[in-house]
Amino acid sequence: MEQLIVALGWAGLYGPMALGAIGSVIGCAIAGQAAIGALLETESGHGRFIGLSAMPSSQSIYGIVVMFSLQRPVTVDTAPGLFAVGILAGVALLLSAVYQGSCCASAINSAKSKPEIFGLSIAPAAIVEGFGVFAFIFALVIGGDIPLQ
Amino acid sequence: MAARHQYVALRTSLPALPATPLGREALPISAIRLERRLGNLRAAHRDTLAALERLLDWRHLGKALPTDTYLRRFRAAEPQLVAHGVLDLVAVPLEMHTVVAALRRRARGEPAPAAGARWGFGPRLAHMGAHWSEPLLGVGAVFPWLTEAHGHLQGNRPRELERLLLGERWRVLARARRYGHFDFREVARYLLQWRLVAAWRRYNAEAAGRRLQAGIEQGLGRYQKLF
Repeated sequence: MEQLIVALGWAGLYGPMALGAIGSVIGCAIAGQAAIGALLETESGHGRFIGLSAMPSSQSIYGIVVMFSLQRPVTVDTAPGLFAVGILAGVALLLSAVYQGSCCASAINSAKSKPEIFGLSIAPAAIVEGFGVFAFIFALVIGGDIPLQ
Repeated sequence: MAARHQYVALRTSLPALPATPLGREALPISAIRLERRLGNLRAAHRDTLAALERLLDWRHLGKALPTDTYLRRFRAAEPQLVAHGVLDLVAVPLEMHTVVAALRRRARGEPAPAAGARWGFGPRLAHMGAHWSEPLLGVGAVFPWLTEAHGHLQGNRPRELERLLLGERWRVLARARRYGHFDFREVARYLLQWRLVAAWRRYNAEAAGRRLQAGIEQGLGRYQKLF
C-alpha cells in the first residue's frame, strides 16, 4: 500500500509536465494542420498562422514550472498532496491546450478569408489560455502547502 | 485525432463561400481544384461523396428515371450516409424536391397518390396525399417557403421558383454548420453549398447565353440566312 501511495506521488509530481505536454501535442497538431491548410488559400500572412498554431505549447512550459515547484522527496506524507495537485493541474493544462488548439484552428479558418478579424479571432484562444494560467498559478500557490518531507 | 478534427487541413484549405449563392461573384474555387483537394479524403468518405453526387446531381439521374429506381438508389446509399453522419444533408433537399414535385403533379391534374404508395421522400407523404386538394398540401406550416413557391408555380415563373428553392437549400445547409468541427460532415456540407453556388452561376450563364442568342437573332432579322 505504501508503495502504491509513493507511486501515485511520483505520478502527481511528473503529471503536470506529462499531461501539459500531451495537451500541447494535440493542440499544436490541430492548430498546425489548420495553418497548413490555410497556407494553400492565402498569399500572405503565413507567419502569423504558423505563430498562432504554436499557442498551445505554453501549457508544456506551465507544466514544467509546476513540476519543479512541487519537487520534493516523495514520501507517504507528501505523496497524497503531490498526486492531488499535480494530476488536477495536469488535467486542466491538458484540456486547456486541446481546446485552445481548437480555438486556434477556428481562428485560422476564419481569418484566412477575412484577415481584418485576425486579432479579434484570437480572443477565444486567449481566454482559454487564461484558464490554463489560473490552473498554473494556483497549483503553485496550493503546492506551497504540501509538506516538504 | 478526434473525429471532429479529422480533416482540419482539408477544411481550412477550402476558401470561404459567398454569403449567398445568388450573387454574381466568381466561384471561390474551381471544380478542378476542389476535386484535387477532396482527393485528401479517406476512400470510404470519397465513396460517400460520390453517393451524394449520384443522389443529388440530375446529370447522374437522367430526366426519365422512375421514382422506384431512385428510391432504390437512396435505400442502397442510406446506411453509408447514416454511418458518415450526412443523411440529413441529403434528406432535407430531397423532401423539398418531393413537395415541389407534388405541387407540379397536382397542377398537371394528376390525382392524389394511392395511400401507402412511396412516391417521394420524407415522413409527410401520406399527409400530403390526404390533403392533395389543399393549396399547400397541408404542409404549409412545415415549409414556410411553400406559399411563395406555390405562387411562382401558379404564375409560371420558373426562374423565381428556382431562385427561391436554391436560397432555401442554402439556408438549410447554413443552419447545419457546426462551428469548430473539421470533420467529414463539414467537408460534405461545404461541397453541397459550393454546388449550389456553381449551379446558380451555370444557370445564369445559360440564361445569358439564351438571351444573347435571342438578341443576335432579333438583330439579324431577315438577314439570318445570309450565308
